[in-house]
Amino acid sequence: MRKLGFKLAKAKTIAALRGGPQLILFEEREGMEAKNLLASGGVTPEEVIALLRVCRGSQDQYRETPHHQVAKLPVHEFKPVMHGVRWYVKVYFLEGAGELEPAIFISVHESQA
Amino acid sequence: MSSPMKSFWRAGDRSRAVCGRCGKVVETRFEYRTYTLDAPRAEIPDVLVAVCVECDGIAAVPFQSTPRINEARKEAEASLEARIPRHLEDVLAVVASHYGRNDSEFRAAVLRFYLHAFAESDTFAAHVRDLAGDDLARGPAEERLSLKVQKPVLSRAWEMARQVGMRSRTEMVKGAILAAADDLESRGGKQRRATLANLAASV
Repeated sequence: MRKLGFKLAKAKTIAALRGGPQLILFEEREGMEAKNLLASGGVTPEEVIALLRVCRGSQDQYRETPHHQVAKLPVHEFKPVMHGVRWYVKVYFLEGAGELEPAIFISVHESQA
Repeated sequence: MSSPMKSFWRAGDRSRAVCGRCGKVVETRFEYRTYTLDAPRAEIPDVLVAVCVECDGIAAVPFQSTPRINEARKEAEASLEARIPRHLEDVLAVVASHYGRNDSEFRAAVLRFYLHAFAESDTFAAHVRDLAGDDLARGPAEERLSLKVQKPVLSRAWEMARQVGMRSRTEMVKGAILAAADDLESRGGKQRRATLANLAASV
């Protein structure tokens, strides 16, 4: 798995959210309504950008893990805290380079932990 | 002057995504398909999705399709409103905590589950009706409870409520909360406890 790192992952995710409809995709999954609030209209791209802006690169707020089905694909797990609430944003990119590319979101929700 | 128009996906466009069925990165083709929502259950025609070219399943959904999906979701849901005594909110919280959860999402899931169970069995519905008449169901109705429920579930539950002699939706909600609490210790609640434990772990 080739890691991207916190700074680049965060910048790419924000760039995709700003970039418009063609750069935001959602992985098809069960429970999309509750687990992907960006897909179900519970939060806007602007609100996810705000969450990512307050996210730090510390171990408790960011992890880069293998995709559960495709191990060589890095998945970025952001766990920012805003207004006392911890959020969970899980996203991946297929190219992984510096260029602007679609962000594929798996999860966007308040953390249960 | 150049247009500030953002780009959108169109039918026939190609991309890539992880396909959940194939378990690998696949090429995708954008197509208008009927999209199935799991909760609330609904079939939405003509939604642009990214289809896996290998298995023909839906691999991803573009952001531009979500307003249409969410509109259909709203149409498939009904809103159940009730005013209940404040202590019944605590009862519901204790039930949710029993399953290791106490978030609003799971508390709502518990209530939806009991409304569904209530609608499916007249024996259980009669038990819920009796609980709704219990002293614990009484008190000033200070708490406003609002719940999204699938339209068919709510109409079946309300039909059952009238069948067993209940007079209001509030009574039905109170009974459902108390039935959830009663199930924590009763023998008859074993199956429902097991289902809720699975739900708590998976939703």
